[in-house]
Amino acid sequence: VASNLPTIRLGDLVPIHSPGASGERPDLRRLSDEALLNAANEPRNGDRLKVEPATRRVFDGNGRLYELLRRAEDPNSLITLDTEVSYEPHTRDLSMFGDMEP
Amino acid sequence: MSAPHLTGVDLSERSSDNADAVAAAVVRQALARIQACGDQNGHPVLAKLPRLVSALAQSVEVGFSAAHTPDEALRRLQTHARETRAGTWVDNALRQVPVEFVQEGAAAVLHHMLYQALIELRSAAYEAGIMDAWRWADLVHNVPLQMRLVDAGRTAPDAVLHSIAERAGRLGLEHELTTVLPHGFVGRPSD
Repeated sequence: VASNLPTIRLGDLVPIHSPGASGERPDLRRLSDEALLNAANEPRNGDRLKVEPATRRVFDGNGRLYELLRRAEDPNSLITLDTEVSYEPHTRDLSMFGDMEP
Repeated sequence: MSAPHLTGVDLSERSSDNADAVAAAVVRQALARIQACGDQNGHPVLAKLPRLVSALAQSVEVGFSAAHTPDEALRRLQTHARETRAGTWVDNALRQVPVEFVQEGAAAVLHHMLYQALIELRSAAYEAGIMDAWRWADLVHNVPLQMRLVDAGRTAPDAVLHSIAERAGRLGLEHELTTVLPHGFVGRPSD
């Protein structure tokens, strides 16, 4: 878990789209538990799980989240719903779009 | 469907030599498609946020130079945001740029702001059930972060195109990209 970021219990996260909306993810299925957790906590691209703290909704990283949740149901996996994952807080502010100039 | 209209990059001789510019052009193409969906559906965020950040995307696409620095691009974005009363979105996005991006400089900050705009557009599109806009936003949402790695020499430009092509296949957008991506990328699995 990245030390400078907040963490949250896996089971508390709320995906923003349905599983498989972006298509199948065999690349994530192939990862070991450790590599999958690393892809969530320290992704190479810097695209960490983006979570709105107030709602716990995941704005980026839903593919990884669904795979983590799938593993959490697998008794052979080390990942559980209580596993903590780090996230980057995301606060929406779309209030101005109602009165923006065209 | 007509060929995507792209500006700022010569795609007449598409090759992996200009892969970073092609990737940025795909982002602009996606923004244009999302904006069109927003206009068509009267959705204010989908219609207006792409307009706000398309200049930023163009800056990334044409590349930065001594005459067109990342700092200048950021200043222009802030000025444009003030003029269109969208300053609070820009200020909010700036506050959420992670410290490691800030430490890297204005180019990394711009990449992260563009990424934030794309994930915002993606969620807004999904919530509104405007799935065409959602697919385009999903296709390119992490491209700015990959381009930051290209800038830092931590990944090859071709890898970004492979990633776009792979995602396009999953989203059913391959045919939309055949005129944009260099020959051979569409339909080729990513590494």
